[in-house]
Amino acid sequence: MVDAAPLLSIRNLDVRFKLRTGVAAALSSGPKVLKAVDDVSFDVRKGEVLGLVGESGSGKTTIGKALLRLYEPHAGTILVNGVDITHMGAGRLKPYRRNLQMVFQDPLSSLNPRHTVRTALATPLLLHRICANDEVDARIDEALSKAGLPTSFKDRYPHEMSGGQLQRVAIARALTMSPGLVVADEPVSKLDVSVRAQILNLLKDLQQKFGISIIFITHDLRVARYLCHRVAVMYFGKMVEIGPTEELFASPKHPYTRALLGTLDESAESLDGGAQIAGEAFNPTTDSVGCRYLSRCPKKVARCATAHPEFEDVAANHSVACYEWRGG
Amino acid sequence: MSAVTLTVRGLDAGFTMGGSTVLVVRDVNFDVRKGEMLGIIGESGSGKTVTGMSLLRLLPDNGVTNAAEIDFLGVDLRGLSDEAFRELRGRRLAMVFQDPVGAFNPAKKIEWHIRGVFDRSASKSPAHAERARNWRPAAIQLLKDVGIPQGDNVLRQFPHQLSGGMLQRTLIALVLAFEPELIVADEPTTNLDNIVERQILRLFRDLQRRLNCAFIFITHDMSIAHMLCDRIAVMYAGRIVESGPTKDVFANPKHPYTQGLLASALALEGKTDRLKEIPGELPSPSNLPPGCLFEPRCTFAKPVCRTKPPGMTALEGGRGVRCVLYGDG
Ligand SMILES: Nc1ncnc2c1ncn2[C@@H]1O[C@H](COP(=O)(O)OP(=O)(O)O)[C@@H](O)[C@H]1O
Ligand SMILES: Nc1ncnc2c1ncn2[C@@H]1O[C@H](COP(=O)(O)OP(=O)(O)O)[C@@H](O)[C@H]1O
Ligand code: SF4
Ligand SMILES: [Mg+2]
Ligand SMILES: [Mg+2]
Repeated sequence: MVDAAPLLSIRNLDVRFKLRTGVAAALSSGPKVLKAVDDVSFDVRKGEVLGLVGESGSGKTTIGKALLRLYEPHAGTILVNGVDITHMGAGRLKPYRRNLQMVFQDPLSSLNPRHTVRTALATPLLLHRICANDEVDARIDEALSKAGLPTSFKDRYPHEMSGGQLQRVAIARALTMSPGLVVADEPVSKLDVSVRAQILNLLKDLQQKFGISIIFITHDLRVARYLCHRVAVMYFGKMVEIGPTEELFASPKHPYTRALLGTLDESAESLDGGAQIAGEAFNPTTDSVGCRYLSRCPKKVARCATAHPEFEDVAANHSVACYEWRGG
Repeated sequence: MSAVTLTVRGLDAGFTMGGSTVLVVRDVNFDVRKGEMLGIIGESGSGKTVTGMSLLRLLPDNGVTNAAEIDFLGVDLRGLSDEAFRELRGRRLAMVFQDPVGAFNPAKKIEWHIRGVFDRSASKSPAHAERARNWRPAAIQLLKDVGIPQGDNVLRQFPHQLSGGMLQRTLIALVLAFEPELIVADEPTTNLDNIVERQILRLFRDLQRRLNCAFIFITHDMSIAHMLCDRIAVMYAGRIVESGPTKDVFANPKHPYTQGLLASALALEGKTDRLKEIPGELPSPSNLPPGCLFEPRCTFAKPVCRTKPPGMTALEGGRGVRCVLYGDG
């Protein structure tokens, strides 16, 4: 069973980007910073897969990168096994960096085209002094096998491999560090459908065999359902709902979660349902008060325009940020 | 059955690089009828875009196209001069791409684009001429038809001021005004979020019903093809491996590749503990297997599959499959 103390705790995370200067910035009267992640809190327990879903630009990648300390948060705390790493210096951070690994959507961009697989996997092993020099090769072989690749792949260059093989290499590289938590950022969205199943099954197996925690980032609800114990839904920098996967699918509370789940019905008739005219999405550079979902929401009431709603508990482990979640 | 708008037979297409030509589309055959939506589906790199581009003569300079027949409403498209083809593309054929931005002139407002289409079609009928003269109310109505109520505002905006979804709606309005007889749409909703995507898909379907035109919808997404298309053609490594009415192909896929693809795609729809995998990956166009293109990944392969590329076998109900398990191969 899962441990009581969470492996990772994120509290009130706030990550901002300066908006580009130039015409667009000069024309807009709105704020000059973008809140890519706005007051987000959640835990990941040991051995748990948490899904982060939401459309592109909702802040999923930024959360992942911030918790690996690749972005400096504007506010909030990041606790790993109870230790605050939010502002930890590089030296002390090293073991935590090792414990937190990331697998990206596009494995090519995270591999040096001039390095063989051996070099790509050996470098972090040597850097973190994970093992003696003469054990490096054995360690790489082990990681490649776990990722479902023949050990002969050590001598390949990135351009000699297919998309699925590259993603396996990226997974193997994360595994060499024996991480406690892997942030997998849309690891299958660039892969073909026929290869996607292979990688999803691999992640599921690894997670179950080694008890690794995973933050699985995806815009595809179906993929999240397959892999995740809990799912958190993001909308324009805000987390709007979080809950156990099956409960969230069976009884979603937030209007946005409901709309997203509504897109899973694939019958031809399903195209006829729903509103024909969509409200424009939240504009993060001009809209600042009220619920982020206000402009698109079919259930909005006067209060929704006053402030973004706080999280409320719906059931054990299930919370939602919506004033109107009780109404049907 | 309605009349055939486009007939394609024996289409090969590819690219010349460093003196040699690599074909990435081979022996593609299909018909699209008036009022029909044909889905061309397949994974990335299977040749869907190159098929569409070669038909509309939009391949880059090193592109190569060869066909036994490309007939568009009685016109042999192969024989047209580039100038005559451009003329046709501007009047009777439309292509919609993934990124709508490229279809707009960034320096011109939306009203300029709509008026352009009105002006070009003014000679079609007195009503069209009137529309070009008294353009503003017609343009506002047109935008309303594609779910943009505040058309007056949008007309005064530049393309970059609109969101991706709004721009794709506006482009659909232009196509609607332009009334082509054939539309080729290449993954036109891939950049949109699921909710907006739904709405745009619905607009495409309404567009096709209103114009009663022939429509080729290219997508890698099985669920979109399922919702939208009357018939589908499944491409694998540059060849059509299966085709038929969408309902029938989804209910009872014949080709082992289609079976695997649908199994992986549909398994995710419900709750499942284990996804069915297709082993291996797509072959590269410069290094294709000598026999059936799917043979290295196929669990039903026979010895002959390794040596002889199967032909297309016609099945009942307007279906076809390129696999030796059916008929004489
Ligand atoms: N390095 C950056 N500089 C400026 N803006 C950024 C940067 N990274 C992300 N953003 C912006 O932050 C928002 C959230 O982005 P992201 O986290 O990548 O979303 P997602 O992963 O959900 O698609 C987007 O509006 C994006 O444009
Ligand atoms: N301009 C080009 N030059 C060379 N090869 C190309 C070019 N465009 C596409 N290809 C190749 O043609 C094949 C089919 O590509 P494409 O039609 O774009 O596939 P799809 O649209 O099904 O994803 C791929 O192998 C691709 O790499
Ligand atoms: S708070 Fe209001 S606007 Fe926001 S999702 Fe709930 S009902 Fe809709
Ligand atoms: Mg992202
Ligand atoms: Mg394409």
